[in-house]
Amino acid sequence: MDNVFFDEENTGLKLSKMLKIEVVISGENQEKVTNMMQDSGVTGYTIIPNVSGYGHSGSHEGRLLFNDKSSQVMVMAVAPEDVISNIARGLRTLLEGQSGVMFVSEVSVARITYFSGSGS
Amino acid sequence: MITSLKDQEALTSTLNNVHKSFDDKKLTTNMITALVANAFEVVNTNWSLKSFIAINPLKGFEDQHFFDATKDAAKYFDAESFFPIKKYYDLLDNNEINRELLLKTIDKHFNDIELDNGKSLKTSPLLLKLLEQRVIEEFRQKPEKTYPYSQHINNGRTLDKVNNYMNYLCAAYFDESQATWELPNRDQGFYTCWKKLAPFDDKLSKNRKIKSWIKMLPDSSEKTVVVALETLGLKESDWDEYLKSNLCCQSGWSSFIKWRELNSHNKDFKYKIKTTDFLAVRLIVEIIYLFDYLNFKDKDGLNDFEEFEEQILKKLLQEQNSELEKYNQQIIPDEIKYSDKNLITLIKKSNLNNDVDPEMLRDTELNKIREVIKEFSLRASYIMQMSWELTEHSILLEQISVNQELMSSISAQNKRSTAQMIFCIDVRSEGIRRSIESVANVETLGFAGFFGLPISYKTHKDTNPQAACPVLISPKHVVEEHVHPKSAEDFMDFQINQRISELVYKSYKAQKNNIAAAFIFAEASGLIYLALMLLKTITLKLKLGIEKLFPKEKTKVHFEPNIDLSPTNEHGLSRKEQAFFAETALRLMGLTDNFSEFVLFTGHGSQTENNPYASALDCGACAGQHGGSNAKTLAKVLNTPEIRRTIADNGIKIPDTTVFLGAEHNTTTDEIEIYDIEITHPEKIEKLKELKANLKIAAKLNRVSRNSDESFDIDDAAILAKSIDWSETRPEWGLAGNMAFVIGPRELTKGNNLSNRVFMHSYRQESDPDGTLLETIMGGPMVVTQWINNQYYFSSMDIKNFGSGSKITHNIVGDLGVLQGNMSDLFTGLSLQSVFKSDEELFHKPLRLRVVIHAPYERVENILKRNLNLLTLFRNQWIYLTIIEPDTGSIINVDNFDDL
Repeated sequence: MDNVFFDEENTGLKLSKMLKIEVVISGENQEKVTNMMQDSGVTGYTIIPNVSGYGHSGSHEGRLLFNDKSSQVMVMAVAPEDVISNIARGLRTLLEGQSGVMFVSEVSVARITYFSGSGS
Repeated sequence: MITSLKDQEALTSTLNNVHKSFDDKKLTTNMITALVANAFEVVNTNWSLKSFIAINPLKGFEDQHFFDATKDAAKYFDAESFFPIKKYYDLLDNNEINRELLLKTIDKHFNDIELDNGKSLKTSPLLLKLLEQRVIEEFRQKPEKTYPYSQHINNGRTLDKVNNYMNYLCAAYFDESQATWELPNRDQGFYTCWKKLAPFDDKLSKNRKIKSWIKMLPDSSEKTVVVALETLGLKESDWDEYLKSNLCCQSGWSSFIKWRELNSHNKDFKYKIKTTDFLAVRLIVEIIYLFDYLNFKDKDGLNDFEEFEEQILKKLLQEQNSELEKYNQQIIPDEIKYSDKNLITLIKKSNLNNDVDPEMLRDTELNKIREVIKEFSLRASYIMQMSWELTEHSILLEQISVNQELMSSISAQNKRSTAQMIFCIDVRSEGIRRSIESVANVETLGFAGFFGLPISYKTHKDTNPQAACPVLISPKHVVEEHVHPKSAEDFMDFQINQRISELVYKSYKAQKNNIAAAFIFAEASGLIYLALMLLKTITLKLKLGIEKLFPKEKTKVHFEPNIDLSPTNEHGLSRKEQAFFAETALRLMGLTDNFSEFVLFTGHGSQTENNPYASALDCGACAGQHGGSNAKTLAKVLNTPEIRRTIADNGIKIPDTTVFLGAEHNTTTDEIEIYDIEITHPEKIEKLKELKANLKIAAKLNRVSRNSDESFDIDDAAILAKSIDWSETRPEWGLAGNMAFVIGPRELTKGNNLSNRVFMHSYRQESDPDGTLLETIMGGPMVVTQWINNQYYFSSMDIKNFGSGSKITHNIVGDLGVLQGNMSDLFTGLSLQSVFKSDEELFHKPLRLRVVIHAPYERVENILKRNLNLLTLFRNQWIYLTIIEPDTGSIINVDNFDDL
């Protein structure tokens, strides 16, 4: 997975390919997702609380100061393919019973060692 | 096929196959965790007794319409969500259900019938007539459900064995140092702890093959769940339903475990559990009992496992057929009852459309009417329930309507009050607010009782901070209390006394739990305890009298919240955060000008003896704790000059003469304690004295008022005695009676006796043009009131399934919850004594909540448009919505959310 696709000599940048998974899910399920990510061996994740948007069931644009469970959160993580695939398979099952969406995409990272933890 | 249960070889081979599936990555741990998480959606989250939180027991079904969710409640828990129809007939006879509203409700839900001549026929008068004649019998439609295999064996006794085993195991695992001999290996988690112990547990199985099979089970509970499902021969598509059906057989512990997993970071919980651990053990135990039964007992004459499986299927089919038969039996007699002649007579009597001659109706048209009657019989209780709700709500709305018309004059009467008191939105605040307003020049407001502080609070008694905000919010700060500087010297004495009582308690416990000493201890102390018990029972009034004559000197030690972050205080809030929370709170409660000399944030808590459900009577907004600590904290923040300067820059100018104080309303006695240790100015002390005297009068007024409609003694001393009576099962009514939530200025409700049935949140719509404040109130406090309302609703409708039965036969297990009798599933929900006056007669009227909002329609509409979770609650009729248009004063009952 450590393909170099930038001209290292000219740019001085050595970028490596990784996969990124992004999940938008109800705040109530945030911990289920982060636990799943940790159990799969990600080295880190980012949470964006209270995200807005429009989806299958309607709008989520709430500004809920006194409620951080009902609002939607976005959780994202970058990791090698085997780790992301493990998370994605778990999430697919989870999303059969809960509302939410997930996206997997290819990204480039500069410091590969930051993201290649030990997958379980 | 469950041939895997045939012998040990089959068991082992299934086990190996599962290992292979995981090795080949056909299955992953994450997938099973997710599968289990989805299955657990069928049960709610059940807090422990220490911090009892009211929650909708059907929370997992809120994405469905209320009526459909009640069908699922019947399917999964065999629970009732409505009264038996006869009870509604009584309500109709007593005019507690308004006929006009009932007719309108029927009309709305049942379409007109198209006649062959192009005319249409209204059926609602006919259906109303049928109800009045008490001839509609309701049949509860129950969707099909999968049951655990063990339910079909030995007349359900095998399932009982599984449940019993799990009940004992859970009670032992979650024991909080009450047992002298603890369950070993608990630090390794529930599954491992059980797996290590199970091979030695003859109660589980004496079969050596089974014991060795247990030892071979995977170390991960996720894999074991799959081993179990495969061994039971279930198709992957049936896994979810099978897991759900198992959880429903033990919904009390299941929901408690769901809560414990969600709170696994809580330092108070020494022993962790995962939901997969619980299911893995439960399924394996089921397999072991099935295996034992099928191998060694008389298998109801079964010869092999294929036959057993067939038998199960046959039994399932039989059950489904008998349901169908029951359904038909109840519907078919209607067909006979309503012969053409009868039906025509009924139609004539019920004054259907004047221009339709019933005699001229054709067979096809009469059949259409029969169909409507059939359909109606499936929903009659729900229709009656809705009409009852509308009737009760209309009384409140009429009162509000009168106030709304007089609003400007009520506001004009308001002179500057001597104090402003901010109470929790809790329904119990309504009575005390009304009483205070009647005796003193005090303005009262309503606000969520945690006063907008997302904190955990650590009192001097706590080892770890306790959450002191609604469960919808994760606490973001810790506030720790410290001894007040003035009490530093007394603190030493206080500590010594505390140490002595700790020592006495420890030695008492050691004596009680020591095998040798226990007998001698019981012999020696028995008489002393008997004497104490008798004294406690017969001297209540005497004790109260003595206290009145010689008021107890209050403890000399005072504690204060340490709010500031500092090098010596790692807990606390930065000044910026303090200013933000303080300003938000003031804006949300609509208190931005016209400050009185005293502003009292009044939290609340109950005072009861020998009551495992004490926290259910405390402040729900403070996560089942007393609210005084939060009140003290906000008062302290707002008394800080720097904070006042910051919020003055944002337009809220607080006069220097204004003092903020924390206080706590004792909801059992109605006494209000004010935390005023820092007030030293003689003039202020004098004024406070006067206020306190008035609060005392108000307390007595309210005590008598809220007890006057009970069949109990209304002698004031007797009411007060409830708070210290160890045998009192109904010390107070908590939030019973709740039925509406008013978001608006006090003028809307002022002067009316709302009998402690209405949640009230202050809101000044004119200072919130973009709806941000209203959105916060609807997103937080409104959701909490809905939970409380649903908790009371369902506990009242089915005290066995949704409530916890009678307190008299409760057995407390490790501060976690209650059992009924010697051993049972954990019971959730409210006790019978919280909602019933007597074993038969309800005190709480189970009515869904009506939310009344004083704001422009468009503003509420916009909030609902951008908050799907709130819209869903209204659209699916978990709650009702009424909007009062401030400009026109018109009251709009919103019941169509399709365009949003």
